[in-house]
Amino acid sequence: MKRVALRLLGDAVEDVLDVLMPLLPQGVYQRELADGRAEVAFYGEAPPELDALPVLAREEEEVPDGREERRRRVGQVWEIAGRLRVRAPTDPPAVPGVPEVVVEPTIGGFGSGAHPTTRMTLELLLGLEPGGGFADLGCGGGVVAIAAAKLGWEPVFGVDVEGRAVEATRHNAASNDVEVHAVQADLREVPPPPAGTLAGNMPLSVHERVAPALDPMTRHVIASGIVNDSAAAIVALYGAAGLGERARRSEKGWVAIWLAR
Amino acid sequence: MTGGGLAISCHKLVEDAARATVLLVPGLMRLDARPVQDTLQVMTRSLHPRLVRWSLLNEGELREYNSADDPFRMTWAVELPLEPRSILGRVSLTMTADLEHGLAHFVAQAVLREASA
Repeated sequence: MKRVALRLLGDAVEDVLDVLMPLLPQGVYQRELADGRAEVAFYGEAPPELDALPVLAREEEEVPDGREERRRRVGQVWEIAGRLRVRAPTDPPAVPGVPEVVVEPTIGGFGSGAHPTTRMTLELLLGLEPGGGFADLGCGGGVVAIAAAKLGWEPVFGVDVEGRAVEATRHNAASNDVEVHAVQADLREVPPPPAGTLAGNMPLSVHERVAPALDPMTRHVIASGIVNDSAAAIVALYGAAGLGERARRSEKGWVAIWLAR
Repeated sequence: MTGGGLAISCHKLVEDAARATVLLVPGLMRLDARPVQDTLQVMTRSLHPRLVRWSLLNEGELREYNSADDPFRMTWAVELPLEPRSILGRVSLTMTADLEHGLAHFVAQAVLREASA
């Protein structure tokens, strides 16, 4: 299948899409590039209307067909506070000295770092002093667990109720050359692993089970996966377990809270 | 439509991370959607020289798996300020998600009328 990638000035994207979108019912894959530029890619033959559009560069290549392949090529780059980078293998590497987590974008619901809760969790994580055990609860693809391992926590555990998430975490940890002990478990049924630092990207209903079951050795919790309206409940839950709020991040209605003893 | 007006409805399957047009009223407005894993971006676009005003009326709860029993819904009031009469309308978007297969199913509808004198 042919993949057509257009490089545009970021300001021109919407005008170009006004022309292209009615011609491309399957849609386009869009991402920001450096220097205010953007890439708009689509699959199939380039429509003749393309020739009249303000495109800086155009590349066409034959690629394997399939949704997984299209998703993989979207890529992803997230920089967290300039100190950590999350990217896809197809994205260019970070400058030397910046730790990065490289995660294959996959079809499915497992966190790629794209969700605000993941990014805010990573931002709060960067404010902690690495060391000791770490557990990523609701680990998804393992982005937070891998970041913790790269930043210096050890041992690192990942827990998720979904078997596919556990597999994804193991795969991603191996490809990032770090050790993450990923296990499948329902945290509504079993207590979280004993670790000095926990990050929980989970619904409020799971936090309600985790907070009272914390091991006494757990000194730091980053609670996320919750909306602003649930923040007070989270603070109360972990407050009852002896932890107080130290910092909070909020984005698009989601919130992440760092709590410590 | 009784009294005149325009109704447009369409449905579409959109792959994870693709931005696709889910509603197009030529020369007037466009509604694009981009599902990315368990998130959704929705882009409204005016195609008329006099900008169409979009006002979000309500937004449902976006869950990882919005099923047919519990779809995600958004509704906008739209207005195109023309003389002597504006065009008023309502746009709705409904989504169900199949995260495992990386697909989201959208149904969108626009109902537009001239404002009453």
